Amino acid sequence: MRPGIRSLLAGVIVLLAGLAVATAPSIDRVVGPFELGGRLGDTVDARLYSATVTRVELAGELDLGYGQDGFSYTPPSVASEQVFVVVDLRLESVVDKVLVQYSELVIGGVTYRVAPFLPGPSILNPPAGPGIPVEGTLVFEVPSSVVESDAAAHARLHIKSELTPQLESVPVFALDLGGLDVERVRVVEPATIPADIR
Amino acid sequence: MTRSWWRRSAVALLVIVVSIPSLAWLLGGIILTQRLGNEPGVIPVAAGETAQFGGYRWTLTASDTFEPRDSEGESRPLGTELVAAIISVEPIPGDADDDASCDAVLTAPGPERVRRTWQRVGSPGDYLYRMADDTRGYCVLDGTAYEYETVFLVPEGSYGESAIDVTVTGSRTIHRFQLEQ
Repeated sequence: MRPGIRSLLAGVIVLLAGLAVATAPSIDRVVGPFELGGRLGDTVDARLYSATVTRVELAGELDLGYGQDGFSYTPPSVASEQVFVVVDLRLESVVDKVLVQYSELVIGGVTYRVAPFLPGPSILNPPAGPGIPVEGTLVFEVPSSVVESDAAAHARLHIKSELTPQLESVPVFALDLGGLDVERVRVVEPATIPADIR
Repeated sequence: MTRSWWRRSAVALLVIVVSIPSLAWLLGGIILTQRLGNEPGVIPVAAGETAQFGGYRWTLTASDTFEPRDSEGESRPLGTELVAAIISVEPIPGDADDDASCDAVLTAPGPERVRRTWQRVGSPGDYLYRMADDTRGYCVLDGTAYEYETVFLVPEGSYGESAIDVTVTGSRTIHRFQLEQ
């Protein structure tokens, strides 16, 4: 092979290698979750569970129902100076009971974690195994200014059972929180199995 | 390419042809070995047969399905059934640990060769299921003989293909008790 052609070939190989490196996906994209999109009312079937968002509301106070039958150490209600985003969800696992305590609400690039103070049994720890749906509520506490911003129209709800799922399907619901009225008090019920699952 | 090129490159080509598949096999073999090593061993136990493990004798003496009911006595949730089983647990003198416990779950064939798993119902009374007076609803191995009664809520029609997987805490072996048919 002539020296000129050899140099040209080496240059082309280096260029191609540089192009491959520049366009290669990041490791997060290679092993990251497979996001399955949905909207209010859609059922999204992930590998380990399916999820349906049935209702989304905003509230300034949550009635958790504690102490109705007598004394309780837990406060019967929780108020916020900000806003609670209350999401009603139907969840059905495929293989084993699934815990969705790592669910997140993302608005304008900021991630809000799910509130832990739900009345038990909560949908964070569903009272049923595979093949039996559970209906319950997720709550996120979000600044009022965020709910009133334009970004609220493009909120994304990630239903997750792991903090950083890898190579796993995750339902992601696009939610429009813009224009929703803020209820004064919203009653949050424990998670239940529907009366008829057929 | 000339004959002399092949002659000069023969050793290099041989190394490539041998080393690349060997490396792939080695890496795959390690992953496969690790995966198989993490798989717990499963020992099937037929209904009525006695298995010995963890210093105890275990026999599934009864199993059946029941209709779950709500507090009004109505069949609820529709489309589900309760699976209940009684396992006789008897210590083997000299072998029985008196400070151990076990875990029992109901399993059935699921997708991708993974078994579907149901945890026991913590309060069977919520579905108007009444436990027997002389059984225990929890598995504590304290050196005494007893009847372990366990209840699961499953989708209707699951009973026929299900089994109860019992694991003594700390053990990696699952004893899969077949239900009475």
